Amino acid sequence: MNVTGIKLYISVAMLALQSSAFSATSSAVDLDPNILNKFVKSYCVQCHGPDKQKGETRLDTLSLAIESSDVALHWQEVLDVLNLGEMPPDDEPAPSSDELKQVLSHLTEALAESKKRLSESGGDTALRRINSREYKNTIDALFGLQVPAELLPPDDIAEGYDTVGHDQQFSSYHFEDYQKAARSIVTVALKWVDVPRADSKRYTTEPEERTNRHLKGYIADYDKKMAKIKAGATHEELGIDDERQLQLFVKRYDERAGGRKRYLQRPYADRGLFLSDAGSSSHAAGSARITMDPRGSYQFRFAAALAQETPPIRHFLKCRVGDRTVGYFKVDGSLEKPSLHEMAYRATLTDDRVGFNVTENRGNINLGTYLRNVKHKAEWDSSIWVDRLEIEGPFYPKGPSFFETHYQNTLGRPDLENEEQQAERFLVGFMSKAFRQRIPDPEYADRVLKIYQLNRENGRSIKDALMTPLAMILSSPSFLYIMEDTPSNGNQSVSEAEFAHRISYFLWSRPAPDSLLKIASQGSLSNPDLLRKTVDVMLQHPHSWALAEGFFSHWADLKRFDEIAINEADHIGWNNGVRESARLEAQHLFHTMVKENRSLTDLIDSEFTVINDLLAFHYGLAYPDQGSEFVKVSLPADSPRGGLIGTTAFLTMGSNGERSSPIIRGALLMEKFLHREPAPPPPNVPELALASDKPLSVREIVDLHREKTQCASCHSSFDPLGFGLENFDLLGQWRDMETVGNVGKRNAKSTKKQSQIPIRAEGKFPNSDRSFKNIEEFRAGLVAHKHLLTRSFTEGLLSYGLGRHIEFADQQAIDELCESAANSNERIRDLIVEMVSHPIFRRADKLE
Amino acid sequence: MSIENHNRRTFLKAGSTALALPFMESLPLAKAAAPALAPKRFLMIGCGYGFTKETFFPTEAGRFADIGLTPGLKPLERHRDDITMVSNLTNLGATDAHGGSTSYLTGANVSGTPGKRFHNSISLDQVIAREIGQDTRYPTLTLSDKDTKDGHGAGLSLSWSDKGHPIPGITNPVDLYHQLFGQDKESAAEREFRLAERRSVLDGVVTDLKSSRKKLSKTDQEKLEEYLQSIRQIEQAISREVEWSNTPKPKAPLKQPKDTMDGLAALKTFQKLIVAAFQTDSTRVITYRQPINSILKSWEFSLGAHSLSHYNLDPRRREASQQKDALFMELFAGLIDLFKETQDINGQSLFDTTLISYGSNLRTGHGLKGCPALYTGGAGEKLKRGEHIVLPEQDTPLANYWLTLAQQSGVRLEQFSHSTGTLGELVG
Repeated sequence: MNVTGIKLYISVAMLALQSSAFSATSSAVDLDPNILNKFVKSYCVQCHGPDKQKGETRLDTLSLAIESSDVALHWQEVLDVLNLGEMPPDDEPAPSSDELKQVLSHLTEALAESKKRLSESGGDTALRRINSREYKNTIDALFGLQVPAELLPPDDIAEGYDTVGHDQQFSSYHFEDYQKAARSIVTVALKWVDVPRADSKRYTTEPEERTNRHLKGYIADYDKKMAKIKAGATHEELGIDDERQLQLFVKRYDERAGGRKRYLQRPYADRGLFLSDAGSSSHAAGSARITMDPRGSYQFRFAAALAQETPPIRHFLKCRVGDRTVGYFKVDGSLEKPSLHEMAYRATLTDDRVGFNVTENRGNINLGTYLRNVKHKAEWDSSIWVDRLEIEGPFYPKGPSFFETHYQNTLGRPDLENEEQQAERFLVGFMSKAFRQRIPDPEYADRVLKIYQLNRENGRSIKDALMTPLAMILSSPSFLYIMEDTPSNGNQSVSEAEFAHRISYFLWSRPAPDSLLKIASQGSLSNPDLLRKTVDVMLQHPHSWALAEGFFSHWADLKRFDEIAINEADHIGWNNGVRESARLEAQHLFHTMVKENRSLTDLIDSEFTVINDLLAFHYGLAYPDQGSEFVKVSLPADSPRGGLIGTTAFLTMGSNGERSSPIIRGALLMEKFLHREPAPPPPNVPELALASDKPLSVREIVDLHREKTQCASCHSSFDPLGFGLENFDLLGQWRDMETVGNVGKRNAKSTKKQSQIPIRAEGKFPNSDRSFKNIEEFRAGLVAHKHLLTRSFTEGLLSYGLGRHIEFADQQAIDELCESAANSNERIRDLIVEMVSHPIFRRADKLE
Repeated sequence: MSIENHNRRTFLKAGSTALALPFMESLPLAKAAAPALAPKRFLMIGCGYGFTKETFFPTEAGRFADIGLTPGLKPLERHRDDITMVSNLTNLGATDAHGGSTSYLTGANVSGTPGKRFHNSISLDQVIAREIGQDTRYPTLTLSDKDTKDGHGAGLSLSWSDKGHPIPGITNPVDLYHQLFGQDKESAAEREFRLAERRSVLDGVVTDLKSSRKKLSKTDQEKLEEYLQSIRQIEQAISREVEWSNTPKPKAPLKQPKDTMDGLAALKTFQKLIVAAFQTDSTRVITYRQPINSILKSWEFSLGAHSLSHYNLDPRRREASQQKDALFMELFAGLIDLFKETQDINGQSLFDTTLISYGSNLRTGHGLKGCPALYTGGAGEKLKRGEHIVLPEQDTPLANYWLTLAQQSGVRLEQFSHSTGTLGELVG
């Protein structure tokens, strides 16, 4: 045991080596005798010692070195009874709260660490299946087609990265899903494979035409019936249920037909469409529906204007394709001079007859409630007028896809005599590419070809007969799993081609492009300078977005953000537009850091953020005016924004959906920025007693839940950290005051009186003397601990890149990478280049 | 039967050796009982987060007719003499304070199995189906929810395969409707071709697997074993499809539900479809991981399921939590009504031939001890009904409860998961 006392064990210096805090030499986790011996002697051995072994439990001889599951189970049992408050029994001397807290905290952390160590696999990477992001990108690389997420089996719910093979599972349901997805893909791919590329066309729609025709028809019909009623027609003659309904029909004339007439009389109603939820109009303006070429992109355009003076939150539109939102726009044109908006859209393979529609971006709640909450006072509900929707396209990427070229070179030149040979060349060529340069077994190739022949014999066309064979290739193990052979010649590294794919799946989540495979085949990836240069170039390519989407989303726990539900009636600034934009902001922040080779400390404090118009409004920043695009904007000197910790995504996931949660924020901060993952909450700790009836501030609620020693043993380390961000509310907006009171079921009879109290953003760093009084001091404190951020980030990135959990034996490589990062100001691209260049990244599995 | 020593360490130790093996496979299972017997059916509902401690759980043992129903159970008043609540059960392998369903039907040592970060084993429904699921089109049906924050924990449904892999559930009522009653239009020749082609595809992918794995490391080869297992399962499913290919699907006793159902509407439709599935004898075993958050949304609660489970922070939260309990019990009472109103294909009451259980690993808040366990239905003729049974020992393994319910309802099973015996207290 290299640790001599509690002070040393918990000091921040030791935290830098957190994973090795328990033992430096073996995989056993050693409990600290200074913490446990006295405690066990004073409170346990009387009943569980040499004289008595109540419950068949003896603690004085229980090993302090947790080297086996058996020992871990014993200690887990001790921890459980302590957490439950069952031991020591009421009639025996009880430990003080501080003593208990220390033991609980130590046991909890040690057992969590030992659980990890005891499940280590010796650095072997379990065979990994391509996850849904990699599948989509791989299909793009092969076919040039975009697969919508709903076609694929969802990735497993696991604690680690989505690249970790160990955590992945495969069941018959996966196979069926892959078969289905592959069928959809090859059906579309074959349909379009020999369709010549089309010239782009414009499809224009005047959105008012259909609506106004409909309104006029309605009015004419109403008028006709009214005339008949005046002439004495009965309800039967008019097809109305009874006399009472007839009276109502007459009574509602002004509301129904009159409302529509007034709409049509509004200036500009004959030139465009006012978006409105009232019965008089339509809340969405739709373009023409066209058959999109799945190989191409399209431009969407429309004109828009503010219909009247409305609160600024009502100036945003969202653009949707089906039920997917593809862009957000801020409208600032006037009816006299509408603003023009435009965005690019990449077709997906399920876009058959599609168009886009635009509708106001707002909370998904009743319009009346919404208007009341945003303090919209006008008599007329419409905020935006839309005109002239246009789709232009298709626009194609530069060259044909691999699939198109390969088809053209084989079956594309029909030769009835040699059809079978052509089909064989086509299928074998495709499988080699799909299997990432692994040569398919001849028996396998035979079987694929047989299925093709069987279909042909049954009278299917060539294309139809190819469907099952192609779908089969895309569901075969060699496609679904990234296979790396165990080197037979005692070599410890993977082959050049395997290394190329490893790099490419790490940086781009897609197979190595031909250019990289060429470099690999020349052996140039073994040249350190060339390797560095290659990786550096790849990181600056747009494909490196995959690293933001994959690695960073998981490192930053964005899944947690996705799962937060916020009531859109209670929080009027919250809607799907803000939610989706906030998620993208976090990813764009990271992507920008990679592109510009910025320091990791930008995650704590950056001079910029990357936002769209909608977030600019949410944050009260100047509009970047770039339409639906995300752009990098410099932050004003007095802005509290900056860093991941200043983004709505991070701040909102640090909430419980009704208010900010310093507890969750503290735990997230500790795990990500201080490299210390809090243990999961222990089960069975008795609930707190009912709190007082007076309204409590968040700080009071948090303090209250630390009254129990069992809770405080962990929470006292990270709760105070979370207060550093307390000036940000649950939507990530800045506040100086907090509203207290009012929780429970909406419309509850008793509503507490609300009151305002000032925010106190003060707290301290765990196990250190460093405290903070405001966000600036808090940020400075995190920056002072940046070596811990580097470590947490490096471990995460290595785990993601290698597709396995980080183990005790990896500490040396991690140390080296962290040291080199520290020497280059934690610049992120440099760090990734170093990682790929490190021998650990090229290591092959052992044969065993 | 008595309960032997079942302290947690004994279980976990046993779990680390014996339970790591798929022991169910080696257990001799009696062949299905004579078909002349009326079929028995099982419905197991998992409810995720627990209930309000003070107002849901009865404290006194006895017949409900004598002790009365707690406020939380009050909506079940009309079924008072048919429901049983069992106290002092704990699912010993469960440790996730937010996970009421991960091992609810498996009893596995989820996070303490050596060498594994996560472990699970076969669920009760899959075990039961081996015996009583063989005479129906579907051996089991698995229904689930889309939410992940309902206190269910890891997993896709209540059901886990024999290898401990999560089984995805049907989450949209319209999908279930199609599975049960959708008529396929293919001809016999088309079907024959399709199935033959499918078999060739499976043979083909196995060829790829076998040739690829030669050069892989041991860990990699183990990973591929999962793939092979899943192909074997599909082969079995194809055989079953062939067996059933000449039997048309039953006529639907209800209309096709809308595609866009959510929340309460979806739950109520699932209830009707569950009854319809049993009524038409399409299956005899169903599990349902029931949503909470989407239902709370339909009821216009402003708090989510997790916040409600920590109701002690505020009296209004507690009030909401109590309301939630009662509303869910009202839904359960409605389901029991449906079973009582419906007859099976033999003209017997569906209620009298089914065992329905309702519960979770989670009692209340983060508590896993003394989990809620309710059952009803007449499949187990000797199972006591209409009372609150307090087991003599705290933390009696939940697996013993499952074993008792299964045995009493006619399933020949000698042991289940970490069971240490059966519960004589339930049998009268």
